Amino acid sequence: MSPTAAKQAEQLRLDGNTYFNKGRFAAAIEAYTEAITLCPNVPIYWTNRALGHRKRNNWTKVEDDCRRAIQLDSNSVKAHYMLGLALLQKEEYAEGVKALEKALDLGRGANPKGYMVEEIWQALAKAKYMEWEHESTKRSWELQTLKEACETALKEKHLFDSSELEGFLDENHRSNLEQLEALDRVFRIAAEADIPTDVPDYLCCKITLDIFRDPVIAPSGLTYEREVLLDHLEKVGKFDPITREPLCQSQLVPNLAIKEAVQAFLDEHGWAYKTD
Amino acid sequence: MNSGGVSGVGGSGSGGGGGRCWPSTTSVSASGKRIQKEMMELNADPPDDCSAGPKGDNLYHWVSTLIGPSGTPYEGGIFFLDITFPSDYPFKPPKVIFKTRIYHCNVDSAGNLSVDILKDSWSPALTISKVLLAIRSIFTNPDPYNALVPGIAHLYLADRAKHDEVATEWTLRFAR
Repeated sequence: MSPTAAKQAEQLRLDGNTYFNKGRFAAAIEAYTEAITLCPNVPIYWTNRALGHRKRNNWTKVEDDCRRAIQLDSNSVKAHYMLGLALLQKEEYAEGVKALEKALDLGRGANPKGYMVEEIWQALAKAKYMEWEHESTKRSWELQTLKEACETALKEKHLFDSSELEGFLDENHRSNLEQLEALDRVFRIAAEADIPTDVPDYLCCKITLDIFRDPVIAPSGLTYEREVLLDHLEKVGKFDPITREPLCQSQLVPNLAIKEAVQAFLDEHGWAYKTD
Repeated sequence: MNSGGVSGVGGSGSGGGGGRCWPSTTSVSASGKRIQKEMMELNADPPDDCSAGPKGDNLYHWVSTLIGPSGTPYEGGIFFLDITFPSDYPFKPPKVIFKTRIYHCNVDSAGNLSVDILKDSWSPALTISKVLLAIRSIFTNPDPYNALVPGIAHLYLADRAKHDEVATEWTLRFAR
């Protein structure tokens, strides 16, 4: 790549950004395309063009450009993020979520407080919540049908037994009622994980009062949400919010055990992905 | 990192349809979310003799009532408080004002109060419910060494009976 071509491409990118910020997405895409033609190995040109396509809801092109950008830079947060969005649009749910999770990991590594991280999390949580809604409706319908079938079968068995066992009618009647109650209990327990309740306190940050996303542990042994704890250290003071012991950023360590516990909880209770 | 990426990524069509726009600065919505959580928690498990909730549609402006604890000169009084949450809550403390007049060395005639956790000792791990508990405890244990009204603090230390008599009278006059 000649230095003049690189310089020209860079100017085209800046032109594209100007068009983009004015809402002239077609012109922006054109400028980025020219930049790509001059210097096809610069990942930002591809992700910027993908952003333009995204604005025009051209998701197939978003996907193509993001895949190229990832080939050039496998650590591009934006490329993984928009690839995830494009795949969700195509209803390739599992792959889309995987791309968003990758984007989230990379984004946290690069800039844990950046707005990208929040945005990616929102997209991911929304996708997971929709998936849960879909699956849980299916599960609850299945359980309901199965429960009705079991009840009918028990009632029929009761009628049959009543005609066979003369003289033990009372006892037969009682055991039938007990079985129906037990059945009810079993099905209620089976449905429990899908009923939204409170997230247990030990999986929630004492500052956000919300389920942990990126938990870090302080020397006090207390765990906080990384983003708000960093805000606290910056805006309020360099102390542990609960114990008030001196605390600085370098003392914070990711709490992987809580992170795994949160993931296990979310896998089991998809409703907890609800973000508002 | 990806320097020079186009700004304004937040926009339409994130996730599966639904064109919700996410703000790029999250501070305001983060404070709103936290206040909402506190509201839900207060409704589910309110502290003794306290109530608190938004005044109207504005989530950041609450009213609260405290009932004077028995065995104190404030017994039986109902005290109204105004609570205002700053936009960077919980990194800044809420502002609490007594709307009901009270004879107390830690509350001045404008309703301002001197409670350390609402000033220098604030921490984002504190909640409104903990703040109300702290305010309730000044009914039982005034802090004359940290007073806003020196005259009342002086009387409290010098002639407790007289102090309690005036405080009881004020409670009857303003808080019933």
